[in-house]
Amino acid sequence: MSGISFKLRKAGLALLAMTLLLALSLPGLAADKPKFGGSITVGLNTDLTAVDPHTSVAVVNAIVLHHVFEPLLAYGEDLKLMPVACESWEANKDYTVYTFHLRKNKLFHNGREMVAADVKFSLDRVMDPKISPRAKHFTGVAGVEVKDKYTVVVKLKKPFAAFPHLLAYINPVIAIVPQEELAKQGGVFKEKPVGTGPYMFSEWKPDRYIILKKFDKYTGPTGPRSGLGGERIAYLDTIKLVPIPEESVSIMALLNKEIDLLQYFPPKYVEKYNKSYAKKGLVLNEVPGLSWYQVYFGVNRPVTSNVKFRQACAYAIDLDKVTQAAYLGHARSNPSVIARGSVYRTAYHDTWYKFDQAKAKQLLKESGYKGETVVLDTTKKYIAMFRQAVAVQAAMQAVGINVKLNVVEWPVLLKKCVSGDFQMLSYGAGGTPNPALAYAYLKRGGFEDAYPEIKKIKEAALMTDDLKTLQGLYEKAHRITIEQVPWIQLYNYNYLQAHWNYVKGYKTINTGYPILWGVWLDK
Amino acid sequence: MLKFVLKRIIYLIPTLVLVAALVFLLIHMIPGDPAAVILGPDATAEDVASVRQALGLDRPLYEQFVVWLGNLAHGDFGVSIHSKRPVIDSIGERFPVTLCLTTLALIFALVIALPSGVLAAVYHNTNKDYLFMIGTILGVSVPGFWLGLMALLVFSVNLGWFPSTGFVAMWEEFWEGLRYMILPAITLGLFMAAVVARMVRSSMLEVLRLEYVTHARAKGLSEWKVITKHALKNAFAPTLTTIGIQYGMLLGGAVVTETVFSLPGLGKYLVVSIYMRDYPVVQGCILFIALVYVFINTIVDLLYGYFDPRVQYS
Repeated sequence: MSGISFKLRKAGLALLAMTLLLALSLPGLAADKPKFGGSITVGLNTDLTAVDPHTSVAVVNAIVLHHVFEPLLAYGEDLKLMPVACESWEANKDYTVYTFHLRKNKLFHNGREMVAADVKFSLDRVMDPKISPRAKHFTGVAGVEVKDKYTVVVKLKKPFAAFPHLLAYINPVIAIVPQEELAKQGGVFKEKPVGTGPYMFSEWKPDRYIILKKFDKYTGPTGPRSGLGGERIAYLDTIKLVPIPEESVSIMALLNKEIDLLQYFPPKYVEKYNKSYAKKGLVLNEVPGLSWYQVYFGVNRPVTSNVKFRQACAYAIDLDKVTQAAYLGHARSNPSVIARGSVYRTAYHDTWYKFDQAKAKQLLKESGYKGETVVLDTTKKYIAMFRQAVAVQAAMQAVGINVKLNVVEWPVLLKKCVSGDFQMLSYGAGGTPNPALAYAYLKRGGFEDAYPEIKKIKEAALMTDDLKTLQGLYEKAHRITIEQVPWIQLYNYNYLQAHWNYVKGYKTINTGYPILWGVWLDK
Repeated sequence: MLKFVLKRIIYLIPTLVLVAALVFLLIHMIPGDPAAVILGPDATAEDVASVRQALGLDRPLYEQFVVWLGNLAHGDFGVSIHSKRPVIDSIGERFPVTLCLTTLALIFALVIALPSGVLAAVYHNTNKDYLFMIGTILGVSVPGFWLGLMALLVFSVNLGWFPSTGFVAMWEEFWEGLRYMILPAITLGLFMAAVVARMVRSSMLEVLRLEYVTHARAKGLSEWKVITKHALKNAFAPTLTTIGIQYGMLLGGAVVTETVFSLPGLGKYLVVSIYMRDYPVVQGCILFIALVYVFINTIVDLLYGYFDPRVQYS
């Protein structure tokens, strides 16, 4: 009897425990269940400069326009290509013909169905150098043909296995646009862009706000979200994006709940976040990004044309120290253009010069360096470029190199970068998921011309999509950068984004672009 | 007076042509290339050359200037290189914001500067005067950028009285718009208040020593009447010049305030456009500001006659 009673009591306790557990977990379950409706306000660090997806390469424009327009393909978090406006695609055996099968019943925001003719029109527009800054990347295209209402065929002049990567550009969006809407707006979207994305562009008050409204008739990819790929469910009715250029003001606006999410959380505020903001209910996301920062050498300039001098610099610079100085601990040193996590990266890409001042001095002696001034160009527009330049200058001075910093405005640095008019240049870029295109940056400072081998590797990489072959080619490219030191790759920085805890479903992705489909509010 | 105004308008034409030429030359002389900014970091020299050609930037400078000036004569300020929107439309959107901000700052400055300047002169070399001097030195010395951030921290984050960012147009929703404008206007107006107050004080000190003021007092007029009706009116003429110059400077100086408070004004637009080397926007904005500056100074010159009857318009 007592045994039964004990068992009953035990069962009763178990039942009570289960009930309690269930009761405790129910609110959590309810909170995690996506809710439709509501409006989110997002703080951006700058205003839009243009609303036509094909005409500009400003990051902020792409951030907004990724919600309004859709490309045929997009990068997943692992940098694999995923279909967006098309359902599938295939290439012929020698990578000269690509066929894209479009999604059916996919509507533009004006209600018309997107068809193959729109894809042809859009790609032709992207290939027009008078319109698109990316036109030169498409010069290998022989033509775009409409096979039927939902099938588009792109023919290339020569084999190009990396062609689909061009269609998945993060910035600018290689968007499918409706011809008739462009015609209405004078050939260029100036105020009211019309796309096929989950959000419609509603209003832009320059320097005040941008309003996006949910597109109720949206249909798109299915499957789990990954980077810019996967399902795109618009839970929110409205997205309001406000430009707040001043960092400290953006933090104040976040604390005041005037914005719900901040696209760029300045690293210097992380300590305050840990001490105080986290307790208030703010959530900070930190994700390693693809963006890479580096120092280029002008390989055809006095002093820096000497490979031994460049190798001495590589020995003199402690990558970890420069990384710490530039990004206050929110970055990771990386001597390769290929980010960690990329399928193309092998262990070999960690290989680089081990910090050794004695070797640096010895190489300097061998190079015949006699204390000439070497100019390192940088800018304060992006403060990390300046900080890393200061750290590099200090490291080089420590081994006896006379480095002079030349701080210029961003457009001036851009011009120097493009023209190759520099001895050393402190720089950074948004990261290119396709390493072949990343190695193309070696044309800066004249290295590609001086060392055509690197161009051959790049071109070979663009001709294949076999992973093993590509990994081999990229190892070869990295080996050349070790031997020749045309640049010193420094680090990939982390993306820091913050939001209030009632913002659910938000993920910071490795491109750093705030993506607001799949996000809902629980307040 | 009409003749005077017409003369000023005639003078305005060569002034503006000169400003236009200077602005055009200066912006084109600054290193940096709009084509490189448009194309971004992975452009080649050939790409940049091709965009320069498309934008007409490869043509001789004098040719570009003549085309721009010709378009200006037809009221066409050009189109932004980046947004492709007409420059005049963007100026039309942003100037009211700057005008609103600077006018409120001016009102705030005058409300503070006139009474305090007069009081400091009346209580010359007393503790009140010394306190005033300290206040004005602070007003002139405190950087607007720091003051704006502190104002936001105290009144927006800690007290929650005002929003920290955003903008609502006063011509759309007056009271809400005013709430967004109070902190920026005070921040911007404080410097001007200090400068104008010091000017009022020194002008008043000069006037109060003149014989006609002694005469007014001897007539038995109240001190209030002597100061407001006789002394201040005469002391105001030189102050008016300062106000005119300062108001013009506010238009240019509003950029810091507009940046801190995220206001969509003309100053901020101009600075961003300079960074992006958006030549048509920079040229259009500076020319427009010059026009406004000349207009304000013409108004100041016309007001002179009211405060100083000796001024003749011929």
